[in-house]
Amino acid sequence: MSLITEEDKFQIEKEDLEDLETYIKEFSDFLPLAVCSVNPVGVIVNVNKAAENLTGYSSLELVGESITTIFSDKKKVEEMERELVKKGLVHGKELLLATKGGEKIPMSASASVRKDKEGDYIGYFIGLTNITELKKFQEELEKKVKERTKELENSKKALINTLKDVKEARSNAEKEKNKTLAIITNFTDGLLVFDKKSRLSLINPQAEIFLGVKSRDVIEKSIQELSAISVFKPLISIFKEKAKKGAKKELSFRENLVLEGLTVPVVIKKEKIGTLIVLHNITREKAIEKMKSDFVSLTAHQLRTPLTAIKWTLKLLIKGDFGETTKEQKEYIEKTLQSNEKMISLIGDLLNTTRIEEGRYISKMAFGNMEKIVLSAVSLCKNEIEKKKLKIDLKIPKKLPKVKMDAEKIKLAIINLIDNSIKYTYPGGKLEIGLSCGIKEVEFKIKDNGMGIPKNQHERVFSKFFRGDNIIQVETNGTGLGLFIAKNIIEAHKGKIWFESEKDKGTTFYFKLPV
Amino acid sequence: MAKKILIIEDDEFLRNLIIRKLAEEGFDVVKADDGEEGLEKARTENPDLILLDLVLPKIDGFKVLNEIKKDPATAPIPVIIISNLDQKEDIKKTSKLIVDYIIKAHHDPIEILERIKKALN
Repeated sequence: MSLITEEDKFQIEKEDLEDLETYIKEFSDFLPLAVCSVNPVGVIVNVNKAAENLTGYSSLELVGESITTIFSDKKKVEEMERELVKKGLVHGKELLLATKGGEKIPMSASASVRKDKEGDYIGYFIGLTNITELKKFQEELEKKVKERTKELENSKKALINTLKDVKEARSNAEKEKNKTLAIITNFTDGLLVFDKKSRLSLINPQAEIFLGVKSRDVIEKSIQELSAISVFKPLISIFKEKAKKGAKKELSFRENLVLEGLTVPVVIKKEKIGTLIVLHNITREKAIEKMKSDFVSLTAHQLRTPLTAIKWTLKLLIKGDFGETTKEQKEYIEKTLQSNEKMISLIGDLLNTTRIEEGRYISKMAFGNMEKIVLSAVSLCKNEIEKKKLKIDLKIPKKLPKVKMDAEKIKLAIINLIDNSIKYTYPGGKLEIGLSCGIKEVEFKIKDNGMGIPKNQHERVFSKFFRGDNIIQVETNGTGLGLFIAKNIIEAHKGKIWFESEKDKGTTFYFKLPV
Repeated sequence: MAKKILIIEDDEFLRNLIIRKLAEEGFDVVKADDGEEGLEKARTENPDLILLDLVLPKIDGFKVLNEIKKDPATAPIPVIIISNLDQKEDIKKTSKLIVDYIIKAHHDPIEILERIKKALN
């Protein structure tokens, strides 16, 4: 039995349908997504609340209008519709919404085709999402990416430049190193470099030749190990002696090879990192030096014999050995004898100079009394002093300490100084000769009131063959060797020689010798 | 009896000047022109003193001196070097074996005579 009539059924169904419609409307208004329903000819048939809010148009304004009215690019919309018909679904299509207020808002549109029961196309739903923020974000991101890319590119460029610089610097350094190595290799001096631990870290080909060794046999070896090789012995002596100072020393290696060894500390930023030994070949210089001194020596000796013959003959003539001479004859002979004596003394000076240069001058070192030597030297010069009527003032204290010296040479130095004072003091002048004693030395002094030495020539006083401009005009005799010899004698005794002088007032020479 | 002096000197002029002076003073003088002759005469002539030059032909003065001093027969004879070499080494080489060393250019025959007399006393 059925209680529900057909009318009731219709009524119920109608109510159900109305409920569903309300539900759909409420649901669609609730949705935050803007949705439009569009018919097959592109006319909007329905919009929800979100779509009204988004576009700024009311539902009444929108319904019945073409969908293209809310977008700025009509073509893009048509393109989407064609794609939609073809695929049934379009997702995330970017469109530019044109609002009622005239704003252009970027949208992401998704659309889905609607079909009836028979499957015929009856339009579509289109949902719109505001992607302004996303776009903004995207743009910012893009900008950032671009910036970052640019930065990276710059960094890359900088890196490449740096790499290029490094490469260039390395290549330059290598070039420099090669150049330095080439210089070291081709250097005509022998070079040896010892490191901080006194190990041989470099030996150039010239040093190999000088020493007669091969680099591979000696490199990295310590001074101790090298001392076992005989050829290294002279080197090691200078290495040990002068490693700190950096000084020259003559080294005799074998016959026909004399080297000058120079030790130089290698210092970088005040820190000593090793020692460089430079070996310079002075064999030729030495040979020339020897030839020169041999020549002077030989000539001087050869000259001595005829001068001796003249001297002896004249002496015997004066003494009457060859019969009586007139007063006038005797005077001339005496003058000749004096000239001859000067020549003999010049030759003596030349020989002494040669010996000084050969470094074999001072020999007989013994303790002696300076006062005796000074008195003896003064007495040898007595004749000259008297001839010039010079006043002499001797100040010699008693009890001076003994000095270790080559007495003959010291006497010669004193004679040379006295001789100079006599020569360059006017007749009737005054000489003061004195000795004094310091804590560790004995000092000799000779003061005259003679011609003096012009200031501009003070520097050259002790050099070989020096003669003052002012004295050459007055006294033509003199070799210019006396002070050179005196200086060498005093310095060979580890003493010091100096002077004070003023032109036309006089000169004082001093020297002191260690006790 | 006159003292006999042997003079070994190659320079004839110098040698004759000394001989003249020595003869004047009554010495008996024997001469030699070179080292070889000098050495021979030192052995055969039995001199009281020898005056010896250092730079000599044939055998040099250093060698002559050494030979004289090696031979017991000639060793006691006093030797005076008369030379123009005055290098220290030269003197050192001879100093122990001689009584005097005279540099010719620095002295004259009269002084040499005095030194000979001194050596003989």
